Amino acid sequence: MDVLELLKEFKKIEPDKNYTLKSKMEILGAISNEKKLWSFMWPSLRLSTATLITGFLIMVIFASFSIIKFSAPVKFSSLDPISLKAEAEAIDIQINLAKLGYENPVSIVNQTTTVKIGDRKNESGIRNSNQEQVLSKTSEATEQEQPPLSIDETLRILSR
Amino acid sequence: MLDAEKSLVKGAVGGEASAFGLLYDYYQPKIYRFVLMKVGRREEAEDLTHQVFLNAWQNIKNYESRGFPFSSWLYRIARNQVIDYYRAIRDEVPIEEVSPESFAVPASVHIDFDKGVELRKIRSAIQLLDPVYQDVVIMRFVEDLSIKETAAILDKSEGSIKVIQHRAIKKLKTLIS
Repeated sequence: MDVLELLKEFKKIEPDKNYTLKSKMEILGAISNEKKLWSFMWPSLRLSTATLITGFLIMVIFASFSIIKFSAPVKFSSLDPISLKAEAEAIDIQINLAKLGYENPVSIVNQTTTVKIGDRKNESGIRNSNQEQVLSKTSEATEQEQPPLSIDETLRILSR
Repeated sequence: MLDAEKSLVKGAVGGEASAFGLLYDYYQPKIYRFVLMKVGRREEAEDLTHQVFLNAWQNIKNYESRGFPFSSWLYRIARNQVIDYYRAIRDEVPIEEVSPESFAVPASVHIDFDKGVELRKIRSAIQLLDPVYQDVVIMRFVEDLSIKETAAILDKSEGSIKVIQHRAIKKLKTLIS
């Protein structure tokens, strides 16, 4: 028998009818069930996803607050007000001591007064009346420069 | 592609189970025969055919008609399924350990004894051909597909299909004799 004729005989092979029916039902049923399940699951899945994301965001916010709270003392420990105050006081004392060591107290007063008033004049535009005040202040300061009188000299002056 | 088939395919692509059901009824025997001729065992052929149509239904939205019958697309899926099957077998069981009985053609067709012997011989001979030769022999001489359609399924030119067909038949005759 010819090979090609024999090959045609294979066309008579048919799948089992029960298998065909079962397979078809499974294929079409599986997909439609999948679709039904998905359409049923989708709304609840959407809600749970939204809830999850919201919960996660709330957790992130709380976590960030706690991190700031716990890490703040470590980060700003150098800004302790007591130590800062002590440090500032120490600096002031050093300046005063340095000035006392190098300058005469009277001349300091004189200089300070003159400078302060002079500054005011320059800054705020105060005119001649203020200049007079400056002069009078200066004369007072020069009077203070005289050495203090002894008790005898004072009595002598008073008895005149 | 016929107009009736076109409308069925369109419906199936749109998700109509009834349309796909009709396509299944028409093409399932052809795909089953093709797979059975390739794997030789009824149980495997049934499983693989089922898988072919399941894959087709799951991926039918990706189907694009390129002027060929819907069967071309199904044969492509079936070929890939058979390739995967043999790959899995090769990884699991050495071919030397597979018993020859497992390649026997099932007695699903009532044929006379002499013809049955001849068919078994041809079936065994087809098993010894290269996979592409097997495809061409089954598609051209069992399923009566045109050269053009066979070329489209196997992604080859019509000329090379003619050459493969000639060589396959020659080798098949040699193996039988």
